[in-house]
Amino acid sequence: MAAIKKFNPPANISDFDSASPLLDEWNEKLSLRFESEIQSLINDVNVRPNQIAFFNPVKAPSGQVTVAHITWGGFPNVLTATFGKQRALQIADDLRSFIAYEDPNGGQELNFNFRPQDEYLEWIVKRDETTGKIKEVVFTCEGPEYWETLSQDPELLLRLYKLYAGPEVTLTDLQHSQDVYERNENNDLEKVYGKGEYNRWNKWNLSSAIHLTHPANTLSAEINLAARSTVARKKDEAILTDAHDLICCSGYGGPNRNSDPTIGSVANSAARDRNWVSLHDPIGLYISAINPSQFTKPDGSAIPDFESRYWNIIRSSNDGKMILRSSVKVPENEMFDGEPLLLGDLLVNGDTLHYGGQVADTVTVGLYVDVVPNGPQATGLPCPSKCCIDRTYPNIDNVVSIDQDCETVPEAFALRETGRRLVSYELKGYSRAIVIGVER
Amino acid sequence: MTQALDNDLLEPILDGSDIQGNIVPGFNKDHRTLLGFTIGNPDESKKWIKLISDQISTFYEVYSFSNAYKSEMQRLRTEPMGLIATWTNIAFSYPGMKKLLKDMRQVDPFLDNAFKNGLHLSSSSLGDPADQDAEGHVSKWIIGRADDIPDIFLIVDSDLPENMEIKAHYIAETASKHGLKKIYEEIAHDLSYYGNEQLRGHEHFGFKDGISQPGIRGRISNNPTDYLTPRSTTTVNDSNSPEFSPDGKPLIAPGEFIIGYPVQNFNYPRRANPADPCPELLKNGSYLVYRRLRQDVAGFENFAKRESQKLSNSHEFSNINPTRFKSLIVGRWPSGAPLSKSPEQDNPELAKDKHNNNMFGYIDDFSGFKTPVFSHIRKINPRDLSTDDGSASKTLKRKIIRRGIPFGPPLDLAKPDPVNGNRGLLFISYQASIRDQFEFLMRKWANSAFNPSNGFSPGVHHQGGLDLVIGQGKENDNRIRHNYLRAKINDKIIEAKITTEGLGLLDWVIPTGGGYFFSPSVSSLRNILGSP
Repeated sequence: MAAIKKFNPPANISDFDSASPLLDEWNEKLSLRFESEIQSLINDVNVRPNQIAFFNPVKAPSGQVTVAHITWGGFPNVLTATFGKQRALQIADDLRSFIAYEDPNGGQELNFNFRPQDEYLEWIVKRDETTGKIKEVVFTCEGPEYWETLSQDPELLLRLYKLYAGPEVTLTDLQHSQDVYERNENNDLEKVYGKGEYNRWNKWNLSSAIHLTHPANTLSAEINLAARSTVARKKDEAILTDAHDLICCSGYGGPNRNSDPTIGSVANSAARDRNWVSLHDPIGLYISAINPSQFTKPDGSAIPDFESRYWNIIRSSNDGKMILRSSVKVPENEMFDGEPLLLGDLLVNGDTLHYGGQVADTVTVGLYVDVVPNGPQATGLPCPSKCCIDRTYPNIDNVVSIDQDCETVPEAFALRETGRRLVSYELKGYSRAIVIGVER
Repeated sequence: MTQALDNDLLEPILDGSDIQGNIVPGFNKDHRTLLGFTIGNPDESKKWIKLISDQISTFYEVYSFSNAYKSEMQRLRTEPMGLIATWTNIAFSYPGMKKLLKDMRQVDPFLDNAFKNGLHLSSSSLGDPADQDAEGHVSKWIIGRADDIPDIFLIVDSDLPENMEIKAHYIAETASKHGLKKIYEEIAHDLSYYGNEQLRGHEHFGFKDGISQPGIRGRISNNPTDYLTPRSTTTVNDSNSPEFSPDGKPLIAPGEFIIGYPVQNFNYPRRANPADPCPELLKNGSYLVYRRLRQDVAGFENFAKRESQKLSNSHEFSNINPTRFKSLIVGRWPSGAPLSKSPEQDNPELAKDKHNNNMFGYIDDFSGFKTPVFSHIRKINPRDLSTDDGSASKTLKRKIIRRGIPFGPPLDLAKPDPVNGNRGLLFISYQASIRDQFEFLMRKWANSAFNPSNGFSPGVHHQGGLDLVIGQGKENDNRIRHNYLRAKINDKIIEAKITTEGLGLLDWVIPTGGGYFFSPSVSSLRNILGSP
């Protein structure tokens, strides 16, 4: 395998013109992130440098490269595990919020909204104003970091927002209107964003799903997860192989997601088999597919041309296989039984479509992991973390330090804890938190 | 994980006199009649239900018989003579339930949505043909079309075909006297019935069927170790890994199959969560999926012959003959021996060893060099792999109890076909949720080209492909299926493409009937559905 010359934008999307300095900036940002994760494996995870299987794709080792397309269901498992599927469907479409502060003294509280959709897939629902029926569900799986890079070209940023969200978007709508402070691990307030910086949680992103908003849905989290999961782990002298055991032991990613245990276990298994492991360029999270057969007309009849007429790929690689943005809607003027047909009239698995989450449940998300043979021999490090079953929600795991007594973990710990500390969790590279936030 | 385990929650006492016997432990007889009725007069039907409730074989009855059979067999070291039984179970469709219950409001919110909608509404989402002219289109089914759904569905099993016939006749005759109209009758036999004992337990494509079943947790008495499913003494004592029975069944909380009992925890294979609340009608009951699947044996053989010939011309896959090719599609050899443990050739001795024949996983064969990622048994039961659905422990919540039987005589390709292709499988499964179990397996795994797990490939977008037994191609691809077979040679992964393109026929498993039903407890049958 030849190392890549530089990192490309997600899905090789061509927002920048080929001479834009932001292409280099994106490359540097990712390369630094990979290097920093490798360094962190040495400094924070105590992996010996000659045992690190994770590599920076611009410095890839030679050998046959094979790729794993790792996939997972787009509807958040954490919501189903906590509340049951029916309630989860109701919750998933609505925004949640977290709290930050306007000044270092903790005076004025600031509310930021985000989507509680943490499988690296987020969606918004557009409804018919008269009937309330769903007209369209729009999906995104773009990490916020790319849009932060893009924000350095305000003209381009505004042009893209206008294209996807509408002509009334202004630049100031997209920027923080004041400094933003958050509590750090020592409970002190520290500045996380400055006035005028790009605001990931701006109102147009929230209403139009331009990119991911959930604090755990970031490319940084993806790279962190890939790097950390290449570390072999052992417990009672046995090398761990099970996805759940690994994620609890290592403390990477979120154990209550569909995605992270699976991504982690695939990367870990490749590293255990003496391979070099990394993410495949273009680095990104991608919508892999929608299952068209799950949709039927109101009478239960199939929609054979669903993918060509109802499924709209809006941003993707040229071949349409790496999808960043897409939507589902019934084409204008389509009739059924003499009436205009809306998306909300369709059946999903035989049920009437009431929630965007029912559509998300038919969508598969994925990423690509590269593997090159003849990597280092993994020896297996002890577990720094473990999982404790939540006392309120038995299908929820809380990740705690290996030394902590599970009896001392407060009820619904993860849900309460992270509702107030989203930004700092994410910025510090933590991605293991369950983030549901609080009701608005 | 060190938090305390609650054994009463994990191993509740199962109500053996109330649960129908084909759910657990299962009839497992050689001869079966299926009957479908519609209700004419609900009051008369209720009288008949009350009458017939005495005929319903319970869990205890079947369990005791099986124990007597096993014990006699152990003593005699041969099949016991004269120990025969004839058993009946009953189930209701949603339309049937509505006709019998005056007030559905108490029950309706607790019912599985798929059950309420009916199989005819789910059909196309399971991959069944959308073309209204296709044989497998729901409008062409011999039972289960939108206008042809049985209200009541019965299973009559026996060791002797004549006893089955007598019982089925009695049921039909009494039903008729109470205004029930018989709209469906189907008779099926184990393939050994047709003269070849070698085919016992096999399905029409030639493979031993029904090997991997869930081991259901729970006790049959107050005795703390009187388990329904025996326990293995060799199980690894790791509280985070699944526990297995001696014959390699993963142990699963009973509430995943019988309503009203504790259910599997999402993350911990040896933990159960309290039962979900349910009305009396549903307690001790289970949902029944019936699919009448015609198998085009000649079509499958042609496909295997053509593709294996093509593969064997290549250097890397030169050892592939039609039997091996079909086994790669199934994931087991015809004897039932898994490729995972015997990748090069069939191993009938392994197939007889119930424990070893079922104790395997895929973690060490992630890319599918032994058991291809698209193999039927791997697609619908990915065992120790994490999947698009999360950790492997979640897979335990997707499992179903299978109680199918073949129909029609085996095909002899050298002779004219006496039934003109009318052979296949009367697939029956039991589960606590049709939506989250049977339909999940069909939609998310069998019919996905890359889920539950795709492995490593030299091609960025190479998808392992659909389950080539029950998965069906997409309509906009003309139902053509493509798969990648992988081998590792000199440390390199090599792939070969398999395709159904150009075959003319596209499906060799064709739905020709079916329905979603609810199999209630005996007490619900007597006191609710059969109560005036």
